[in-house]
Amino acid sequence: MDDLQKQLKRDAQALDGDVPEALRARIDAAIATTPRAAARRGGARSPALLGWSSAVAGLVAAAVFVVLLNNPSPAPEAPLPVTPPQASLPLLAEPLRVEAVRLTGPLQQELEHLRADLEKARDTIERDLRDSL
Amino acid sequence: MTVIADEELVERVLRGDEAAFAGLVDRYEARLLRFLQTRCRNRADAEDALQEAFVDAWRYLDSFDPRWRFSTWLYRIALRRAQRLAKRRRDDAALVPEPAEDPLAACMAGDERDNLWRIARRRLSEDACAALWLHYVEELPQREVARALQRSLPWTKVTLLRARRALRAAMSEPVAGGDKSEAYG
Repeated sequence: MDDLQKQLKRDAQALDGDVPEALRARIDAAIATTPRAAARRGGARSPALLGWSSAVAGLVAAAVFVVLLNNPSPAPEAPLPVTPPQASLPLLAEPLRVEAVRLTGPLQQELEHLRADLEKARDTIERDLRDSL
Repeated sequence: MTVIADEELVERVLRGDEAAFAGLVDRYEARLLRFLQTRCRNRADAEDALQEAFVDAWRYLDSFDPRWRFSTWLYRIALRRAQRLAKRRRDDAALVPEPAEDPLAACMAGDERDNLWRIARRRLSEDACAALWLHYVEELPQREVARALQRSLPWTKVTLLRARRALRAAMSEPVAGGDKSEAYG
């Protein structure tokens, strides 16, 4: 310990560190009325436990690595079909003939029924409104 | 007489012996109060920060990490409390300006030579001053100082070196040197 360090310690001791009784009573009272917070799980973990969990995780990772090295994933047996690039589409000589989608019969009929019901309902509402006015 | 380690006292509190916390307060109240006086702008603020630091330590004792020294953890809490208090005071001062008194002025009475901590407070940054205190007064290893200040180990080493140089230079200056601030660190 050199002179400067000694001086720093001496001068630190020279500072007024007396804690008045009133202040101590204040601190004790504040502590007595303060509930303790619940522990965080990660905070109080012991170094030994941390070391063990790290070691186990390392062993598992090493085992997975060895298994992967010994059993490489098989190459695909058949090549995947290659789709023609989209850029070739505008080069088609004839325009595509597109037909409108026709509803099948039963669905078309159901739609007609729904429209008829809607008309009936509208007529009924209009009649009721006229009567009430 | 066997001195019970801080960490053992913490264990006792965590096992339900809440009175053991008083032992920690006994052990650290004067040391923390001296330290806080180098950080706070007056004695009253240092006392407030001391109280809040102990209350925080009590409240969060269950999350104390035993890989740290208890003193490192406690000083970290005290530093944070002092910073919050200083910010609160700055905000208050924006509304009502209040002249600050130097808490270290009291130690000057009857002393011909300026207290080194008073010089440190004038010449060094707050963190450099705290690093000096934790390393040379509390005798915390540099690694623990870095943890308490949430700084890197290289920063701590360099700051301690520069702080020592600055203090030596200040000590060799004539007394009527004035209050120039260099704020190392």
